[in-house]
Amino acid sequence: MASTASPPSGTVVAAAYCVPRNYDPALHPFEVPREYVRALNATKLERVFAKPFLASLDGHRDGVNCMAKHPKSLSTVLSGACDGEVKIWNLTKRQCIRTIQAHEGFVRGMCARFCGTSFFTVGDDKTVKHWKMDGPGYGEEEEPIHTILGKTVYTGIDHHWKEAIFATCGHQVDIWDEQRTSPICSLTWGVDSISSVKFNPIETYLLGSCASDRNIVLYDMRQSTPLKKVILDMRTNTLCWNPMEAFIFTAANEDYNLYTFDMRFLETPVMVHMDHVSAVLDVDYSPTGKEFVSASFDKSIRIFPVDKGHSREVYHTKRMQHVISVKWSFDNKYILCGSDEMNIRLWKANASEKLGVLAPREKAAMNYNQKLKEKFQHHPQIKRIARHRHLPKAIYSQAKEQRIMREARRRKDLNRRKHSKPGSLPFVSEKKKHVVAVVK
Amino acid sequence: MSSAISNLFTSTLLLMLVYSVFIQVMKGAYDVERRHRQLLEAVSSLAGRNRRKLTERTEASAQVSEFGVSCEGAGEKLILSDLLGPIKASSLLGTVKKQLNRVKQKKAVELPLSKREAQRVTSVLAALTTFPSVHQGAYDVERRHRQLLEAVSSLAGRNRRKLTERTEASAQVSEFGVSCEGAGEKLILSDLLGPIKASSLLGTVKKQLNRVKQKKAVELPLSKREAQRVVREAAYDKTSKAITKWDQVVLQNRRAEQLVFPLKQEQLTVASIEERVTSWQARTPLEQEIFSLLHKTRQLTTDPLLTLQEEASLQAMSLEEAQQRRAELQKARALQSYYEAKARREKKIKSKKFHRVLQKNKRREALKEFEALKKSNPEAALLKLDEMEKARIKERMSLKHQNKGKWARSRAIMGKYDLEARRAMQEQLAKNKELTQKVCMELEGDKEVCVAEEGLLPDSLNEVQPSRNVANPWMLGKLSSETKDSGIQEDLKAPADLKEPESEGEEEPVLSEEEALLQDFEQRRWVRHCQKGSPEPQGASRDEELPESVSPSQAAGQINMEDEQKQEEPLLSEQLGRLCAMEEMDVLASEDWAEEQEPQQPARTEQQKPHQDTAVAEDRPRGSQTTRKTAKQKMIDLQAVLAGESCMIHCPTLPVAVQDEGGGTDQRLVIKEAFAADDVVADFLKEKNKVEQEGKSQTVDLLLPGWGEWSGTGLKPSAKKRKRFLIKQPPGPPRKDRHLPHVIISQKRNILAATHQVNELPFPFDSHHQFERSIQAPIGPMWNTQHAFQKLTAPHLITQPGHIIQPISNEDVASQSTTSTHKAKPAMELTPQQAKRLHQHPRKKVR
Repeated sequence: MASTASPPSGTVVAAAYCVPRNYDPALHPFEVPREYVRALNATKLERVFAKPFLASLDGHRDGVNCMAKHPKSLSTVLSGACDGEVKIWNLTKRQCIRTIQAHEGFVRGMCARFCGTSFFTVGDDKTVKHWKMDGPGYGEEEEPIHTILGKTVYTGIDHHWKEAIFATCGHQVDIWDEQRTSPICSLTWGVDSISSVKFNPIETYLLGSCASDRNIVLYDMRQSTPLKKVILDMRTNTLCWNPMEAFIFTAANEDYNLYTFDMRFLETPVMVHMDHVSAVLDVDYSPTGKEFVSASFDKSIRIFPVDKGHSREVYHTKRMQHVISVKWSFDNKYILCGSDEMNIRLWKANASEKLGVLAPREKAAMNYNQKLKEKFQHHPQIKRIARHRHLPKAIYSQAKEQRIMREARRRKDLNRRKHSKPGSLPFVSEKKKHVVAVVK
Repeated sequence: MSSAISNLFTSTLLLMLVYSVFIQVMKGAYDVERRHRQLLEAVSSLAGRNRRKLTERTEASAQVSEFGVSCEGAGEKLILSDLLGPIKASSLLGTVKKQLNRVKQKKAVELPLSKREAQRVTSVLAALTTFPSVHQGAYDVERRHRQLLEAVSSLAGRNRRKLTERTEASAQVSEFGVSCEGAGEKLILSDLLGPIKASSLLGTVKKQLNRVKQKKAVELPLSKREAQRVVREAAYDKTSKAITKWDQVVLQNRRAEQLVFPLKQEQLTVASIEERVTSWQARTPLEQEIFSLLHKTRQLTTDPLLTLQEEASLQAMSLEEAQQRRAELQKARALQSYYEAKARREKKIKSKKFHRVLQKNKRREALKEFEALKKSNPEAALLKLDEMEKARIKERMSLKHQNKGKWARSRAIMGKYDLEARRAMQEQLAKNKELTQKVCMELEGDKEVCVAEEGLLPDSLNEVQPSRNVANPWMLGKLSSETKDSGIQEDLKAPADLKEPESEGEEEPVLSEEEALLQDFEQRRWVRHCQKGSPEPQGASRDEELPESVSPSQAAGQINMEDEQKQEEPLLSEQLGRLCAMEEMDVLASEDWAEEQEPQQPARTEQQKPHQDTAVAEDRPRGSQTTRKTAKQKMIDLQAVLAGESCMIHCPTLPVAVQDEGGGTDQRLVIKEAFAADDVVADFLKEKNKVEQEGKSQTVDLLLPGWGEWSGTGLKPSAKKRKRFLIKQPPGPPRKDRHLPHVIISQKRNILAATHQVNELPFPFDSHHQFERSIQAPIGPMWNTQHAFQKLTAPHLITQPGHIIQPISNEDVASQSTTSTHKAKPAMELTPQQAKRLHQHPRKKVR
């Protein structure tokens, strides 16, 4: 880049300084080695500039149990703590702008209305509360718009993406009209506590839920019936629908893995994402639908490409404890995670990205570097540098241990197969291994 | 007699009629009979005893009786003649029986008789009773029937209840009491319709019933669980079918070269000025003041033909003024049209001479004008000059006046004989020259500056062009063919050579610039061609130096397909160490390279010295004893080994008989004779030696004579300088075959480069050629035009900062499909296929 005719700055000036170039390849030899070196440097610089941590929002007096994004404002985020406190944060100022003592006991779940004017919380006190997004006027009491008293504890809530309908889960999945105090319909399939329910953002009548009896159940709101149930090896903590692909959802499982399913083919997950070394507690898709972020009990968050089995990035800090909730901001730039030790952390989604406005030349250079990295990504030296991540000792050793365990299991399987009748021990792929059954 | 005959005839006729009627009546008769029996039963049941008796009878007797017709048996059929069985045989009924049998063979039972016919039958029957030979039974039946009727009528109202009571017990099917008890008993709907007497309407119902009977019966309703499951399954099928509509969109997005988010792009609309102006209101006093001022002058926001003021003035005109104005306008218009017509006419004139004269005139006029302007108005003159300059440029660009047109060619042919033609050609060339010559303002100052500049430019800049710089032909200027040979001596001569073409150029002023350029290009091409064809020693040394410095690209080229382990490795290599700086990255990069190197290190250290020495020995006259010794020793050693081993070889496949004394020597002699000229061993040694020498790193001479000191013929660069610019390459890794005297192991695979090479074919590529090509196509701005560069480096994902990305929706898809042609970014990506197409011209292969 530097060797081209270099104008001072800006495109207008560049046009004025434009020098006709001769693109004869004979005049610019060694194109591959030169680009290779550039790619290598770009990769190194990427690692050098990888400083993803932006801010920590402190103020909660107990672990952050749930978070919600504001659907209309990028700078606003809501969080609910284990002591029933709900806080609304301004991310640009990095400070709390409102605090509500919403519930007694945990705030189990929260969601914002699609228009961004109000939000809902559910708590351990068996209530569903509907709050205004704006604070009360001077002299007014901090009070919810509506409060619904339920018979059982609600463990999760999600709002419809287009209509005035929301869904709660607990012993059953209830679908409520905002104006009514009793659910429009209740969906049950078996009896077990359901930990999370999510509306499909594209086909908004679809719902997904996961229960503690290890299953994931899909519902259709229009036909008010469950659709199908898939039972996995271990319990699924939560799930998230892909905002760009209507039939894809990802489930965060207790067995350290995440499973991406196509809802039409539940027998086999599309992809098994493994890298965490402890239970995965939360997952959220990037708004582009190309990646998702997962929060784990192993005190780290990881970013996975949807079509890859392993993470492209891992974020952790010394002070971050078990991460309970995670969100990917609506502009695809930031990640927020709320953890046990009462903090909400703000991360860059792209660790080495330069924030702020870029000059055109800067942008061009960035694009070029990105393409170079892509072009030479298979070369061992570049790959090695790009892959290198520092990990805390606990995670590192855990991962190592698990690798050994997996290897041992594989070896044993191999031996068993070797010493039994051919065909009697069929090979089961990693994808199929974790699905116990699909119930119609 | 005749009366008797006629009487007999009539009686027989009557009988026949009766019989014929009887056949038809039989059913009716039977019916009558049955009804009669029923009634009889009813009556008797009134007494209370008969019912029991009846059932007893049907149970006991296997015989079919008309009193208790049972359909209990499976294949049991009601046969009419059997019903007649109990009625004791009379000759009359005997015939009836026969007829019945005949009827039985026919399939369809006809419809029961109508009432009228039945009456007629009864009357006939009555007539029969009067007939002397009529059987008593028939009469009896009739009588009894009548009696019973009477009895029944006397019983009046209680009849119905009795009937129902009876049907409970009886097995007979009736429409009043339907029972489905009994094992194989089935309710047949059409039977229910049996008792209802025939009407054409019910006939169709019967048919339908029969049809229904053939269909299956409705099964039992499912249990709740099952029912729910069915509902779920149906719902799931429906939903998954509905959601499949996204398939295409999802696939398209996954494959897209570039995705732009948010999907709903806000359409930029240009608000018209009126809209703006009308919506705007003056608020501050300053604004109001300005607004009022503007309003006073009635400034317009748009530009119609006439301003308000003009319109007003037009309106204010008097009649005379208006007429005058109109006349003016008319005149102007007439003049305009006249000039137009004239121009058109002149343009149509075909005479070339006319046009030539016209143009000449024009030119003269222009020149005159220019001269005049130069004196009066220098600025305008300058503008004029600019115009002339432009004309010159146009002329240069066009091929006019270059004796290349059709006319010029014809003139050229004619030129031999025709003086006029020759003159015309000359004229044209002169014209060309004149036009292409730069018009220079005769300004003294400028001239001086020009001269000064010429003086300032050092001659060396024009002359001394080290021929080694041929890589950049732009730096060469016009090179004669003599300078193609690269070498110091030639370099020194170069200035002299260079002067030649310049003088030539002076001699041929006709040579247009295009031609000059073309010539230049050709020369350069020739230079390059020469260099490729016959590389000079120095060039060769540079070439050989290449493979080592090209190591990364070799990495691209060499793909080892041996490893077929295609396990997906983790994307991240997670470690405990934290790296922060570029240097550490370097260390990271070189880490495993070092690992690979380590085992070879000791071997190299012990081998290094002799290698180095031999390398030096090549250049220097062999001075040191040790080097020669080692080299010699090596040679001797190899030879010895080779000789020894060749003797010891035993070939077990050879027949033993050949090895006997006489024959053996004979054959050996023969072989020796045959291969007398071939010294295989020596050849091999020579070859190996050659390979070894080639593999050795060579020194590079980077000396530039005249750089920093005087140079010229007879002047040699100092030894110090020569030593300084003689660069020794670090010795390569030791040869693998250094301990194997009878083997040559190819060292083409560069170990040093191997760590940078891809040893596994990456996923989307089918062959290593594809991959190599994708690597070889550069994407930087140095090798691509700005446009191509932008296209090649277009990012996959574009997001706008501060914009919320909403989930995809139906509207997005609809808008995408409509605007796909506009929005679809070309996004040239280096997919293997594209790279193949893109990269057509052959490039240096990187191995």
